[in-house]
Amino acid sequence: MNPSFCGNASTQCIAAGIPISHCRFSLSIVRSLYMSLFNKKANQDDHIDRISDLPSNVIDGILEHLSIRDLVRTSILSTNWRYMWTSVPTLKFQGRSFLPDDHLNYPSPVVSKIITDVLMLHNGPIYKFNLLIPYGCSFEITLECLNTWIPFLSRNVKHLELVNNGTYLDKMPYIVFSCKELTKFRFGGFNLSIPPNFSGFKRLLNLQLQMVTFESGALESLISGCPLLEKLRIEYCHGFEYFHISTPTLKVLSLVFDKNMKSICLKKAQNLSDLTLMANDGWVPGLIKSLPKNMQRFCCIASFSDKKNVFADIIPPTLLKSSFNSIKYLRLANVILNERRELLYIVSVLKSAPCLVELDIQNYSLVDVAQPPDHSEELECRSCCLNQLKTVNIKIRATSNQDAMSLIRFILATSTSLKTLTFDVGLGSQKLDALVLLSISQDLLLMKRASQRAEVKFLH
Amino acid sequence: MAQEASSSTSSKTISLKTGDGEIFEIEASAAKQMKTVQRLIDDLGDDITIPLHNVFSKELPKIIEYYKKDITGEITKDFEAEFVKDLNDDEVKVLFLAANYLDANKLFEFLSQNIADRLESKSVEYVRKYFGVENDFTPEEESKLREERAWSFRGIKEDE
Repeated sequence: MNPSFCGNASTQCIAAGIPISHCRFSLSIVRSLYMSLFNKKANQDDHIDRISDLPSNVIDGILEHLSIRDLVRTSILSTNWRYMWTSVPTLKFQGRSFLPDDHLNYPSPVVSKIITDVLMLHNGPIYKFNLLIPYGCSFEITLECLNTWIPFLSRNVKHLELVNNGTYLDKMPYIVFSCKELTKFRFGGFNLSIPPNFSGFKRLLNLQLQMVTFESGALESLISGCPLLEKLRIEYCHGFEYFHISTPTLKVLSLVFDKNMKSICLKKAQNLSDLTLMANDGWVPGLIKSLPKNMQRFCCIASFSDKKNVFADIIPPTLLKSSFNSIKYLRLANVILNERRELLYIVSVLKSAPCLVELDIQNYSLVDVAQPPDHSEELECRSCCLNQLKTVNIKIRATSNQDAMSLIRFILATSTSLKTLTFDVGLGSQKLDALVLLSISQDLLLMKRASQRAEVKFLH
Repeated sequence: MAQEASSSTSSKTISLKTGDGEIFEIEASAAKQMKTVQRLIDDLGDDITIPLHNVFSKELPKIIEYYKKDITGEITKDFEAEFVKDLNDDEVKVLFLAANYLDANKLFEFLSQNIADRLESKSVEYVRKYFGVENDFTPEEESKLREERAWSFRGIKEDE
């Protein structure tokens, strides 16, 4: 290899083995690379020396992933490095690097100044900007801050995350809605109202809202302004009681709602295939009016400690018939298995999901429905065949093991392709004694299995 | 030590020759993930042994291992953690440079994050050594910069 100092930079790059696809020609860096290559053969012992001067795209790759403190500190490495950090297109003010635990009480003007200084020194487009205020920090992202900072970002930013922690601020300033290039937007701890001249986020694919209070109609206006939206996540938000979605591009939806939610209607979301619904503090019967037709993944999580959690109340039999026929993965959490009615309901769910491949049932709930276990009728198996089901995980607290056993017996008797069933009674602090564990193991071994290859794992 | 040739009849294997003369086999679908290799295949054909002057027999097997997992969709956080667990900072750097040369994007992204994590809160001297940088600031310039950016100099760990 005989590097020539004539010829253009791209020829020199090919000779050095730098991929053309991402070269940023910083002359001093390229020159120092040549100095180190000039008299070395490609030979294993020498190549460790050769890498002491790294190619520029390699440096860019690392700089983009450095935490904000480490990134700004590179300015002191040498005079060449002084401004290298200023053109990295990612700025993430988050985590311990931004505000370590002993700095959570930094006065707000100091925190503000850090961010403003960085933005003023920065040079070039910013594609990704995160400002996540940690829990316990007294700093709040104010209107004034955002009006100062967003103009630095609005032309180019694609990923934007602005999260106040725990504080409900005044309205999100309208200036944020001028970021037209956004493909991913996450915000939290603000009041949301939509500016009257909002023309939408035409490129937005991924929207995440947490702890946001919606003014009337704001959520609907926001979503209808995002014609390409594919992923939507709404958690612990207030100010909406009706959730009716008709975005045709939406594929993934995750919704954490509270007991004020009156109605969820999803049948118009024709491409929605991955749905998670979680009740924060209980749900009202009849809550779900419709579900998407082609669901493949469905997680439904009841609230942790509400006695009125009955899955049968919110997903009525008519919905089961029309919406569960493509489901491959199903997860139900905080199911109260020792309610006979609920156990029968789970069976009807399984019967409505012929394509089901993986099933996850968990009960973290502290609710102890004091009922004597009902062994009088075992679950009827003959009319059912779950012939795609391969993996089952059942994880419960030690005290509800009897009822889970009925369900397990049903599953083992009807699943002709079952590979693994894991039964974990280890949740919670109450442990079963050795005799009970032994008797459960014996029962599991004796249960009739439709699939000869099925492996049953018992964890405690 | 040359790797055993893959015996799959359904997918083609490509032979790669490292800068220190060792030959390794890789499946054609994994080779596609390394744009430099794919470009060389397009130019030279897939029956010839592809020469990789800037990659050596210490790194290439690791890279092949990564992409073997990638084509079966098995790359998980646990796998990635395990993958770099026993490598020291210099070994990761060498692997990273190889991934750069091969234009292997997924590995490049993963290793750049891993290196950034390893450099987290390290002292200025350590980072200088890692990037092969000589300090050419005057003491006055340096102390002025440290003062201006005081917030970024807090919380640095001592070198081991």
